[in-house]
Amino acid sequence: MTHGTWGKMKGTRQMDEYTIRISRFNPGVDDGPTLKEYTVPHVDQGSVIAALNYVYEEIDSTLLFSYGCRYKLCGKCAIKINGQPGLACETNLEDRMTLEPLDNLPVIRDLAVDRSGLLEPLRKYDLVYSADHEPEVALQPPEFSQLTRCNECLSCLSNCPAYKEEIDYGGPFFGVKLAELYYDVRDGKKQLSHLESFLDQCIQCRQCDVNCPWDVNFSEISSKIKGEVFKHKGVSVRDWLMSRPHLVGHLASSVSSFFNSLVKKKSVRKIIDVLLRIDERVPFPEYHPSKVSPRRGIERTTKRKVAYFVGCFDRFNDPDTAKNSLFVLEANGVEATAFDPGCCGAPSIGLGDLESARNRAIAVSRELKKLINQGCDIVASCTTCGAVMKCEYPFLFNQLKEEEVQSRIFNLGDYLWQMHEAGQLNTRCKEIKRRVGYQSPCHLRSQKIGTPFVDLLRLIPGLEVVATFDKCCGMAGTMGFKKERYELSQKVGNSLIDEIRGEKLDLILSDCASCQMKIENDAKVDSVHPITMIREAMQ
Amino acid sequence: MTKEFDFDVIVLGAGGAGCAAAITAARNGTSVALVSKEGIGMGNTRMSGGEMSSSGVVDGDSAEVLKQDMIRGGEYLNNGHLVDIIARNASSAIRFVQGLGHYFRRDEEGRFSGKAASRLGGHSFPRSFGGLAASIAHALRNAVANTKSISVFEDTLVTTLFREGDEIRGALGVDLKTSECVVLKAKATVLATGGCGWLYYPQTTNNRTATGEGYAIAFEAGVQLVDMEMVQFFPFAMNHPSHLAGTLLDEPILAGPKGKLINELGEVIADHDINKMTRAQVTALMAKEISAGRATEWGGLKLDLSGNLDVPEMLEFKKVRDEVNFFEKVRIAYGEKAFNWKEPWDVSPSSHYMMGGVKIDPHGHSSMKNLYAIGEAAGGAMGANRLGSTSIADIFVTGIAAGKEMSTWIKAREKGKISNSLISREVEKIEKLFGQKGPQRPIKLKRELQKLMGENVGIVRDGERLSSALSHIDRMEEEVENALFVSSIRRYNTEFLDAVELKNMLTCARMIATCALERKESRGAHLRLDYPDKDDAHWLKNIIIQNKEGKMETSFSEKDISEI
Repeated sequence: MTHGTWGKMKGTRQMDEYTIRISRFNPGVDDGPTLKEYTVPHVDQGSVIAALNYVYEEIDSTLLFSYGCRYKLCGKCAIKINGQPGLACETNLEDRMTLEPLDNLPVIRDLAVDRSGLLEPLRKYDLVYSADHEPEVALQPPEFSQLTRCNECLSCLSNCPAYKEEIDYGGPFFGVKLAELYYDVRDGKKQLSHLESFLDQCIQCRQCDVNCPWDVNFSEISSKIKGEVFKHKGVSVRDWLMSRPHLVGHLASSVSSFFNSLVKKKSVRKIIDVLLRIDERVPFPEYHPSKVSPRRGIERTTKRKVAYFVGCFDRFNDPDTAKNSLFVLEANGVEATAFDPGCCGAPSIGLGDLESARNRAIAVSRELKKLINQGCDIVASCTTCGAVMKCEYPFLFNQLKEEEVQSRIFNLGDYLWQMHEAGQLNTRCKEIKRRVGYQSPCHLRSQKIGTPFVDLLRLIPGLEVVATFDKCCGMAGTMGFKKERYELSQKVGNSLIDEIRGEKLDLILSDCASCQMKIENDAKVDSVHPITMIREAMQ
Repeated sequence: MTKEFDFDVIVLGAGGAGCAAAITAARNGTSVALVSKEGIGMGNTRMSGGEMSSSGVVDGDSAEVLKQDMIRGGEYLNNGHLVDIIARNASSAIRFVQGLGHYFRRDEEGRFSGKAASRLGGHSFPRSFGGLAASIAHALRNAVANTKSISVFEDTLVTTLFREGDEIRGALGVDLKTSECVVLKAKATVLATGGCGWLYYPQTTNNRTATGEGYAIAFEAGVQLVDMEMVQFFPFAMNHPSHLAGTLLDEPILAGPKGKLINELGEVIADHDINKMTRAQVTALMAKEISAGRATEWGGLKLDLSGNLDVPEMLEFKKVRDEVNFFEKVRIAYGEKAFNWKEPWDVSPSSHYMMGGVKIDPHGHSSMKNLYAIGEAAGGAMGANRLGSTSIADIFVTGIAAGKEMSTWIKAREKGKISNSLISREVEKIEKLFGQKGPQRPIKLKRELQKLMGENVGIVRDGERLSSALSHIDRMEEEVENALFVSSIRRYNTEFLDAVELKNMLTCARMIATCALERKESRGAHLRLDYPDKDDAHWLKNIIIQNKEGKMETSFSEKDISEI
């Protein structure tokens, strides 16, 4: 919370003026963008667009920014506001805001980006509505109405890590246009092959949903389309295995030491590479035999009961994270149990195997609701498992739709932060003199709850979170292992890896196992779940 | 550097009318340039309510009934031939728009029936079909992108029409991204530049690009314009907070059968059937209160919809609107109770549509050879007031008609030459603006003009204020001639854009004020405090305005009653 909002809310410190920073850049004349400060009057309910108009009219009319309709219809005023894409017309102005142009689009000048190239993919693929007559009866499916809400603001392109690397694929904006044709009952279905190759480039980071002003939620729709593609295409042995982490986990962890040493052998990886097309350059995570269970006989000082969702990676590859999570919860007086209903279904959704995913969703939801009825809050440390339960279950499988259920599912960091705000978190902890970085995973950002772990880490005396990263690592669950997608995965991840290397830190905390693996392998920096640090501080 | 291009047809403006004309002409084998100050489909078509009138779908309705409704709604000032064409072709235009991929709302069985249509104020039957206006724009854009013989010039501002003798032979544009001039030579030039609502900013529902380019460049070229005093104010628009002021809420239909309008003193101005009134009637009602000093603190009136909470069709109406978050603005400005109609909230009339425009014949042809005007750029069809949803019908009907008509003759005709001296003279005018070091920033003068228009040439008018506006415009025109400041930036210089738009806006402002001063009666959207009554004996005629050797001259065309 900024001081500006605080002052306004309390009514004690009414600010008359706000200072904002605006990116100024004239390509071909300036070396690069610079942020310039402007002082604008604060008006009640003033929007960012009003502030930009003020700067233009009263201070400097060489400032270039775009707008058209003044409220949410034209999408032209989309810019990055404090780093997040959004419409200047519907965002309230706050003190100290930073305004920049959208990413991944050519800048005309200052805040204006060139939107004209967007016609190109349509031309290239000859994508045109081509029904030869309007049918007498035609009711559109809900997906169609959802897609046509898009006002083409291009916030999704600004957020898309794959579009950044592969402009030609068109990004989520193009996907929305394709999907709109696909779902149109008058003309649809023939775009499936285009959509198939399109979705091959999508890394399912869900970032296109995060700042969409009309909640088009393309990533949810693309999961559905993946399901359609899957029905036509079938599945390879590799993909079948990779979408069953619980099964593979059971097998591998039952012979863990044998398995771990086997897949460390270059020759074995070579064979796997050729036979299964799992890229030999990406190391496998280690498997562990132990099972997670909470400690017993802990004194309960709060009314909180938590069922901690043990994800597949926790269960088989990283039992420490689960143990640490349970430890921290219990140490703060929470009655915690390990909840291990099997895979949440995320890998099956990623593959498009929606039938398998549906079965998982139904089974998990059933167990989960039972626990909620018994008074438990559901807490997940894995950001993907959390995002799937919160976003995909309701939309794709009609599960966990009820608000009273959704409101009981939490991300671990978010839950602990809420405990802290309720005064239930013991913050008298050990000093840890260390400088660390924090990588915010895509599936955390897609939950729109900020970065609660960063706030928590800042409670630890001596610990400095000197850098937070929010770029996609490119692993995208299992995508980074797939030989045919290895290149894309690397390309997407490179800018994060470069940034991390540049900071010269020896530990990066991240709540996503894929991010951790990628950072360890490519940036050669240790990476663990942030709960590890909190657990350490509590000893 | 100046680039030159040759086309059969150039279409200026890329909203519904321009795109429809370009697509139709191109499908009929002509080469087309589609020129737009913005991206394709980014203008007012996209921002409309998305409702399009059909020629009738329910028993008893027909093109003839629609025509009569439009003429009654237009208070008998309409050009009957133009209304006739719109009324007869509205349904086929709907099929054209559907054919591009737009989906109009259907009934629950998926049929295109009367149940899916709305009955808007002034219409005798439900005949207007809704949908997302942005989706119309997207369908147009996609269709344009996939029509091979259309060359697209986006972000290109047209500054002048090339007139040689008594014909138009093309236009000069400026590519705003580079500030390079573009000479567009053509056998036919189509004005599809929309209206001039931005003259009344912030109290306008329009996109900021609606600065009257088409009217101004046509006027400069000596083309006749008609009905320029007829500016429609949309009754229900926002007036608060500042960044939402002027933006559109809804047709009079929003008031439902039991909605009330209440003034600052708490007096009820109207308490039933506001939904059956035309936009002009509701605006006149509101204007009377506002000009008598009984406006709310935000300058409008309170709209109380609570009576409609037990009217089933109004609850259905709200449900449909809420699905696309249509009234989100109300929630932002006035809170949850107002959003749910439990509390009254503030509305103000807002400049919405120009009934006047370039005078055309039934094919869309103007008074000048080879120049067409379509959609809002053309005038005459709507008379003194336009009915809801007829504009979307108009833009497509006239766009398609013009596109078709010109392709019948265009291949056979030779292209006229544009002299190099004319080109270089016009290019020089553009170049001169860059780096001009006068004391006045164009945006400041723009705001000054907008304020003047709102106060003196707005919803209610009188002779004194109109005359004072005209002398104010004189002064401003002098300043524009000599005293502007424009930086020399070549990459999208908005000071340059403002300077050109300002000049055009001044021309439009002068035309509106001149015609408004001329018409000594009140009719439709034109309300004179000094002539409060309608005067059929003297004023059942249209005012024509034209540039004759540098002078603005008005004349009249008597109504041919047989056509209506």
